[in-house]
Amino acid sequence: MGGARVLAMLGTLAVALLAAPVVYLVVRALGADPLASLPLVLRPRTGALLLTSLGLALLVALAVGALGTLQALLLARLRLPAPRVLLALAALPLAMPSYVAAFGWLGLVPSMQGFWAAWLQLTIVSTPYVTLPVYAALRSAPAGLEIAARSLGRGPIAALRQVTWPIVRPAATAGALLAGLYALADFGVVSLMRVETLSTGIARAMGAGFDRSYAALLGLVLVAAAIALVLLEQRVRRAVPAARVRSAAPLRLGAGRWAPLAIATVLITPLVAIGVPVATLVARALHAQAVRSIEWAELLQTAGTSVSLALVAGILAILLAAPISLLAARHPSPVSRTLEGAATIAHALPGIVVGLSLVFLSLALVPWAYQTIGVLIAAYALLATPRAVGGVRAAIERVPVRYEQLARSLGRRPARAFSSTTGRIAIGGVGVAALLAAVAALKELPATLLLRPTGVDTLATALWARTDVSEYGAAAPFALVLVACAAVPAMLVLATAVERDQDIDLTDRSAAP
Amino acid sequence: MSGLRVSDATIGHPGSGDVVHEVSLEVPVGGVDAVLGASGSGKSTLLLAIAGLLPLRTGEIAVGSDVISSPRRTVPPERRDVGWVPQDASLFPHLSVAQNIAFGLPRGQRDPHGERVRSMLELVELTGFGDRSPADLSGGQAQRVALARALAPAPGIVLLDEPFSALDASLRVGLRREIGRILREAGATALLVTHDQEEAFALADRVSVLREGRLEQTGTAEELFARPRSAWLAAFLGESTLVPATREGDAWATPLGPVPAAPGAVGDERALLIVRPEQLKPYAAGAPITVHDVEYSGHDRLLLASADGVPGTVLMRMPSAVGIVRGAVMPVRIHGTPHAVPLA
Repeated sequence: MGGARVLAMLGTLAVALLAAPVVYLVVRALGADPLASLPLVLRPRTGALLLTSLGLALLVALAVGALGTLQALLLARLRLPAPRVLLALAALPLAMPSYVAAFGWLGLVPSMQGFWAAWLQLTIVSTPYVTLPVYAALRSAPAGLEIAARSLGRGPIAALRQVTWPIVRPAATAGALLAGLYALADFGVVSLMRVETLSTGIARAMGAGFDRSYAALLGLVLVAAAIALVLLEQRVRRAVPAARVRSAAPLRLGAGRWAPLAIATVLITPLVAIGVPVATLVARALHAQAVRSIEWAELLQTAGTSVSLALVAGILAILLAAPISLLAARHPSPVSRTLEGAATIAHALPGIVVGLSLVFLSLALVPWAYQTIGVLIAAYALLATPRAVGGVRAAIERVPVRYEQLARSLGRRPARAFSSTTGRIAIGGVGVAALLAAVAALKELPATLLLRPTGVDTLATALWARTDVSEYGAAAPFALVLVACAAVPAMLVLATAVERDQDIDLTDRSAAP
Repeated sequence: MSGLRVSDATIGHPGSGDVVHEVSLEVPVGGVDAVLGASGSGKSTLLLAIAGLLPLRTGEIAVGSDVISSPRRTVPPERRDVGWVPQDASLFPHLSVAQNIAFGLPRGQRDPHGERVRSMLELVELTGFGDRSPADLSGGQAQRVALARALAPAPGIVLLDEPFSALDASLRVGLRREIGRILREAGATALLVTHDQEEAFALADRVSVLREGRLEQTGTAEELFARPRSAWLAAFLGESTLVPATREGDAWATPLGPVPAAPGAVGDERALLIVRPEQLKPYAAGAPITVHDVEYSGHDRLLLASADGVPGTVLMRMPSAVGIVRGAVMPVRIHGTPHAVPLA
């Protein structure tokens, strides 16, 4: 019992740390006189930015919902060659930083600009958020239901629609809302495609005019929209039926002459999200002039900076997440649920908002720390922690609590019982969670742009500094190293999941772009 | 001396009501007893309390002369002399078989290749399996390793939580005998918790039946079957017909004819007679029963029938019944002096 209380205190502290910058942002934005800021908010420009952001999020969610569900249906119900490879390929876009994909496409089609281009890019990289959970739901839906419906006179499509779809729908909706959330939070793709949204508006206000009050207000609007989306997503997800006893998986139908079309539908997303951009980047990097001009020293140095910052952030994220996850996994209570819920909502915070909040908070509290590596690491840890909570919790939950109880009946004190059983067994899963949290930090762009100390470059900012078309060849190597760093751990995780034929669990959301 | 003594234990899960109400039971040193109950009867809760994972609200639990649970004090699991064999074996997956068995030995003696582990492996007849991973064991082997792990530190009592429920029916009987042999060879005091009465009566010397968190009765198989204290227990154990009876002098009047009353039987006017299937015999001048089904088992057969005035199924055992078919009507009477219990 004492252990649970200590965990609850540590967890509360962690959540307070996570929430502090945004709470300060709210205080700061509303300022001493909320009424005075009203005209600022009501500027037509604010409305236009909000409309673009929300429209983009909504259209991405709809498209991802439709394409992802279609892919999942084809993967789950048709007999296609190499089904596991296809599934892994369908998951692949998760490993691609969305702005790198967009950057790659710009190298091929420089005129790819505007709202619909951004919509297409964001849709393609987010499709797995629906494909994977819907695939899992379809494979685990009891086969008996559809057979019963068929025996009651429904055709195959009608049975699918009337019996299976209601079971699968919450997974599809939650995944689509998650994709919408990432579209809302996106900074890189919309900047590259020259679409003005709330996040680019914030960056602009912080950059050119250094209009901090307006930036804070835009940040507030963005946070409100993101939290609304994440709350909606949680509500929908709760409706997902609890895991039931596994019954026989539904049969797969022969695809016949439709097989090539089905495979093409599945492969379109990895091809567009990874195949084309990576091929373009490789081609550009290998271009004779470009090869000579590769800044090897700088490339190595930024890669080193990125990887070390990311690893520190990953470890910090695990330390912050551990009490919350441990409490949720081992001592479920209203307190643990509140803490976990708060951490999950923190997941809604867009990188640009976390960056902005930390600018304000560090200037107000510790001005000497502004634009030091410490604040940048704090931002990474804040962004990575909510992603780590689910992973650490799942790793602990996978170990039956019985092992600990047994270890105690065999003479171990509680702490030793934990470390000799659960601790030992869960360490691999916690390591994976740390790796995924580190990758989230590694790919981070907007907060880094706001917070990095002068002279410090990460792969992402080095790439960003070279996004001008004339410098494309110089930027390509940074982009490729970034893809390699970001993709390797994610691929490892996906590969083991596919190999074990596990449902790839996206509820921990650690693979967020 | 008792190995395990539970007296007047009331137990509940934190934040909810009592699940076990003032239960008392005692397992003698070297004895193997069982707690038998349906799901929800509180048997698992009782087990958790004995293991030290739930506190007592009233009463006391002692192993040997040490009180390990009372409302004031719950000795933590690691400091009580209680071994535990869980339902699904729960072998530590990251340790080898030998390391699992060595886990509970005192520090300094935790040598997976040491004498104690070797003799435990021999006891459970898994010599040579020490370096295997738990994943490579069959269900029955895993259960035997779990028993060896629990017995290795020589606990005062070892708890067996439905140890056979995860196994195929074909393996159960063999493993049950094997575990009975191991427990007796090790001289262990054991308490088996199960919902399966066949298992309980086969393995245990004495069985305590729990009903909705209360102790219904404790006794040997003979005692419980021949002299159940309540109609509920008789019905729970099955295999008998509950016949309503009214006292008339030295006899019971029943819908199946008069029966002599045992001296000192229930003093009430009305009672239920526990009539075992072999206590019903064909009798030309008896009361008619209607046969609904015939179950064949080895050398005899069980008739499932009904009779006017008897609420439940009438069970009657016949050696190689000749010409009895469904729908047959047959006159019978009660033979001997059945046990009487108060009306439920």
